[in-house]
Amino acid sequence: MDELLKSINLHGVLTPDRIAAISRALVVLLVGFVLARFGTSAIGRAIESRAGGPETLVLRRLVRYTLYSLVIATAAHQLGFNLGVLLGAAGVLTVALGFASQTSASNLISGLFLIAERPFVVGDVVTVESVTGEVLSIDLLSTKIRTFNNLFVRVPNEQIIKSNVTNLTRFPIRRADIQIGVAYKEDMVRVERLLREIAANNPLAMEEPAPLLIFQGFGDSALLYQFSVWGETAKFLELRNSIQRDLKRVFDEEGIEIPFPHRSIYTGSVTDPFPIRIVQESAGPVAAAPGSPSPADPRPPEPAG
Amino acid sequence: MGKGKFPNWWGGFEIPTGSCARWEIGPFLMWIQRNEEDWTVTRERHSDPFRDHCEVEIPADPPPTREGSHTEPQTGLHAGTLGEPEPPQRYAALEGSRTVYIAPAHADRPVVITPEQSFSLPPRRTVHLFVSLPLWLQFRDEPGGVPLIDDPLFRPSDTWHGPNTRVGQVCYASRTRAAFAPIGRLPHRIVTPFEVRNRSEKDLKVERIKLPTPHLSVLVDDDGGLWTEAVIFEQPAGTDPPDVRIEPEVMNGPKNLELLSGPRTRMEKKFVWHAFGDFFANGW
Repeated sequence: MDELLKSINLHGVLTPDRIAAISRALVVLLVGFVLARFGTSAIGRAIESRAGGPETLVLRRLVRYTLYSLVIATAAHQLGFNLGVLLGAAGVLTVALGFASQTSASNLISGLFLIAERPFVVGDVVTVESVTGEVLSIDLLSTKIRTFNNLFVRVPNEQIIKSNVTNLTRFPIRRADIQIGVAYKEDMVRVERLLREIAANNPLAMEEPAPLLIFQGFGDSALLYQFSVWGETAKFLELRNSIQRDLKRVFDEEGIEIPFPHRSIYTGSVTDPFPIRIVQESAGPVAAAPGSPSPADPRPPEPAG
Repeated sequence: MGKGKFPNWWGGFEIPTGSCARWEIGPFLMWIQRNEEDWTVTRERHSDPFRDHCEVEIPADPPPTREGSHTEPQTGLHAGTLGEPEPPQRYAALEGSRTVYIAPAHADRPVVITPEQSFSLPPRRTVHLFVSLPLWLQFRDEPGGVPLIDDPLFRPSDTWHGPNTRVGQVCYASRTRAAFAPIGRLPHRIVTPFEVRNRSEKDLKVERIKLPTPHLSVLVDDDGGLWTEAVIFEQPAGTDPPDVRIEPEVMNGPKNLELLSGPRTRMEKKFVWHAFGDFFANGW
């Protein structure tokens, strides 16, 4: 043995005591990691049976890394490292790392808050700022979202904590708000009756809570209504599409006009009047305003003013 | 064939290979074709929920091919969104099976009935009522097998039953006269007798009642009329929630009843107390 140590020039370094310490450390590491793995599984199962949800995964990871840290610290202690000095150094290192990784630390803490607050769970459909999609996972640093056009979006947890998050599937029922305008000539009482009957005849529109009809005001081109119907969250899109399809069909059948934007154009006193051209189907005398082209002339009139 | 107003549309029906059978049950139309390897099912729905026609035709002409996007002209407000054509569906058939089993079933969710005129029940009084509820149709190709089709004969509107928009249950809605005597039959609806007992010292206002339809059976009388067991709602004295029970006897109805279909789910007493605590809603 001495010969061997001498040959690799480690005779002074690897004393029998050190070899024993390294062996103890290796045993601690080996046994410790196995125990840590079993411990993590056992604790994970216990957490899962009580809590469930996304926090289980994160808590399991937290437990696993804590146990691994303990095992490594114990192994280091076996090697003769002074843990006090190590912890002190770790403290300094933590401060240094903290400054260097402020964003990550912020995301990590935000992740813990998210897990504790549970504004959404895996599988919910959420809108975070401009991103809407299904939550795939809530991790310590970020939340993964799959958008409806199948894009993978990683949203940092800090951003979620800071911004408004809308959970679209939290409650079992939802309200579809449909904005509609009808022509000024229509009878408002009749329009309101038709809208209520449309909701009553659509099986996806809930009877209770009752549909809501709000007259929004006199718009530029139309009488404006908000027509709100409640439906099952799972069938929300189906409801919103079908109720608007019904609305268009019934309005067409009943002769209710959904107007396009109207514009009244005035030439004012300082401009010339619009040129007028009168076209008659049968050949006959044609009266034309001064400045307008004759019926035989296909050219467009000169712009007025 | 039933002895009553309508033929019995349920039971086992043999359809030879290459043939077609047709059911017309109120607003619901269905064709089942037996092909070499599969059943092809085509469905259509009329928009009138009170259509009282009932017919079973074997063999029948195959379903007509519709042009355009609608199965029938949709006019007026009563054209529902479910009037759109449903594409034919094919189901792999059991080898050698030539018989289809058609059974009526209850709604898969509770039905909230709203009397057209709400009524109050004074203290210590009891009232017997009859309501008709929407029926579902189940199609199997082996007795007791998994239904290949489990469809409403007329899809009722959804409604919400609960103290607020966060807590509650999605149910079906049914408006009813809540008659005090047995009501007229429709082939696609079933009659439920129920009794409301007010044991409290206050008036009980009955505006909306949630009936535990998935827990009810389908029974048939001698005339082919469909009934459920009676449901008893009892408002006890004090502040306890109403007690709900299903009675095997049909009160004030026919006596000789035969079981056609069992309940979708069995009712547990604990479940009743927790899930059906809020039967008599007082609006929003």
